[in-house]
Amino acid sequence: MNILVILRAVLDPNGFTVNRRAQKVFVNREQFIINPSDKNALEAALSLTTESDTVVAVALGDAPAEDALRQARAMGAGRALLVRDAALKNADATVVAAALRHLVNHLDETRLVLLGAEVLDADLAQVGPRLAAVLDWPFIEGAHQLEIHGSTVTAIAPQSDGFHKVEADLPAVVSVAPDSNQPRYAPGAKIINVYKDRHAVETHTAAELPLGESGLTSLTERRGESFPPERELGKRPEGSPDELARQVAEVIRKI
Amino acid sequence: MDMTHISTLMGEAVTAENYADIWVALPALRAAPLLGEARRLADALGCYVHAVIADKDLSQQAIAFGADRVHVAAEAVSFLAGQQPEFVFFPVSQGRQAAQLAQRLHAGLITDARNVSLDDSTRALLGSHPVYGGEYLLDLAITSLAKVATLDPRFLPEPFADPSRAGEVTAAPATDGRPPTAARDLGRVDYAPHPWRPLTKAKVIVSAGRGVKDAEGFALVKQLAASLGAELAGDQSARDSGWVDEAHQVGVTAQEVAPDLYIAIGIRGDTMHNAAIARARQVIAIHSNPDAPIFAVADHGVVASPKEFLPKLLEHLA
Repeated sequence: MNILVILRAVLDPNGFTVNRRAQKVFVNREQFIINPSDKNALEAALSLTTESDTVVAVALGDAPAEDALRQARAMGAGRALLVRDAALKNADATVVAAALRHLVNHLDETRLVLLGAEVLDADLAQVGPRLAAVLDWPFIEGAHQLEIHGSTVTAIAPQSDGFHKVEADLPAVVSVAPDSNQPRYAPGAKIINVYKDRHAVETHTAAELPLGESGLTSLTERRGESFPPERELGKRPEGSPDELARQVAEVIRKI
Repeated sequence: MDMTHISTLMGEAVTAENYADIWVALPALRAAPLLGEARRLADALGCYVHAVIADKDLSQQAIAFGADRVHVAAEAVSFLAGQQPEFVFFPVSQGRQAAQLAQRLHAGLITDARNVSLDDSTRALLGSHPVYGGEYLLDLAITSLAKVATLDPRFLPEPFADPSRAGEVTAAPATDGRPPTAARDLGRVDYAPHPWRPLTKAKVIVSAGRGVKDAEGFALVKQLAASLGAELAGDQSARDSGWVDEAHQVGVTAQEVAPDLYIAIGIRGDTMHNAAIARARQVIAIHSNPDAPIFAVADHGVVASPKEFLPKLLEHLA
C-alpha cells in the first residue's frame, strides 16, 4: 500500500521583502523551502506507516521541487516521484489535480493521499478537494491526529462550531493542519546520501503520465501582483469604556 | 485566445450562451454581502442573480439583498453542478465545496478573492488572492466558461436591502445521481491543538505587562488569550512578576515576534519591547497612561485601565 504525500516547494519568505510603497517584491535570495504544512503532512504519513506501507513523496516542478523530494527522502520517505515538464510551468490547480490523478492511477494500491492544508503561495488551497473530486474519494480538511483503523481513516478536523471527529473510508484525500505535529529532522548523513544517489528521485514527464493537451490547459492565469495599502498611523478610538470595548472587539473579529 | 479554447467553443454542445447568470451559495445570512457584490456585477453585465439557500426562511431577505431568483436546495454543490452557472460565489468558509463544484463544472476557481471585477472584452473573472499570509496579492483571471470564486464577506461592503424588491422562489428539484463520496462526521470532540508552534510563529499573541497590576488582572488576560485561541506572553515586567517564562517573554533579548495580531495589555512599551514587535501586522494596545510609548507603535490604542476594560471586552467578544 502506498501513502502519497504531495510536496510543494515555495519561495522562502525570509528571502524576500515586500515593499508596499514601491508596489514591488524584492527577492534578495531566491531560495526555496518545502511548504511548511506539507512537512506536517509528510510527518503524519511517516508516523502512520506500518511495515507494509511505502510513503511516496510527490512533487511537480523543477529543481526546487526536486530538492524538496530529496529532503523528503532524507526524512524517511520510501520513494520520490517528480513530474517535470516545461508545459507545467503555468499549471493551475486543475492541471495539478489532473496530473496527480494520473500519478495515483499509475501507482495503484494508493490508499491515502496527504497534503498540507495551507500553502504559502499561489496554490489557493484547492488541489486537495479537486483531487478528491476527480478520484471520487472522500476528503478531510485540516486534519489533526490522523489514525488508520482497518479500511477507514479517522481524524480530528475543525468545523464551524469547533473540532469534530471525522471518519472516511479508504482510499481518501486528507489535508493536514499546519502545526498539527512536529516534523522530524533529517539526519545529516542521510541528506548527503540522497544527494549522492542519482536514483533517489524518479522523474516523469507529463506525456508519460499520460497527460494530454486538454489536461494541461490552465483555467486561470496570472496577471500580476497587487499590494495592500501602506500601514497608516495608529488610531486612538474615543468614547465610553463600553463603546471602546465594542470597537476593539470589532477590530479583533475582523482579523 | 488559444486554439483549444476555440475548439471547445465551436465543436461541443458547450457554448458560452448556455452558461449564464451569477449564482450565490448562501448558507447563512452572514454571507449576504456576497449578494450585494453579485448584484453589482449583474447590473453591469445585464444578467440575473440567483441565490441558492438551504433554509427557506432566508428567501425574502435574499431577494431584498438583490437576488432575482431563490433556489431552495439542501445540497448547493449537487444542485449547482446540474445547472449551467457562468459565475458562482461561495463564502470563504465553503472553500471545499467551491473546489468540488469547480472540478465538476471544469471551472477555474479563485479562493478568498478580493477586488472582484470583470474583464469586459473576454468576460473573464478577475480577482486577487492573498499569498504569504497577506504580504501581497496575486491578480488572477479565470478564463473558463464557468467561473467560481470564494469571497470573504468581511471585506465586502454591507449590501443594500430593498424590502420592496420582487423575486421568485423555487424549490430545487431533487438531484439524481448519488452525492460525492464524503467523510462521516462522528460528532464534536473536546480537543485543543497542541502548541508545537513557538511564540515566534504564533498568529495571535496576547501579551501582559505591569499595567495589569496583579494576579487577578493577569487571570483576565489569560481568559482573553483562551477566548481568542491566542498565545499568552508578557514583557520584561511580566517575567519579573513570575507570570511568564523566558520562552514567552517578548523583547529583543528574549523573543522577537511577528503575529497577525498582537494585543499588548498594560504594557508601557519600552524600546526593547517595541522593537521586538516591529513585524507584527496589527497591534492593539491597552494602557491607562495616554503618554505610554506603546501607543506610538499601536494600530489601535485604548486608554483605559486593563482591569476595568478587559471584562467589557470579553463580554463583547462572547
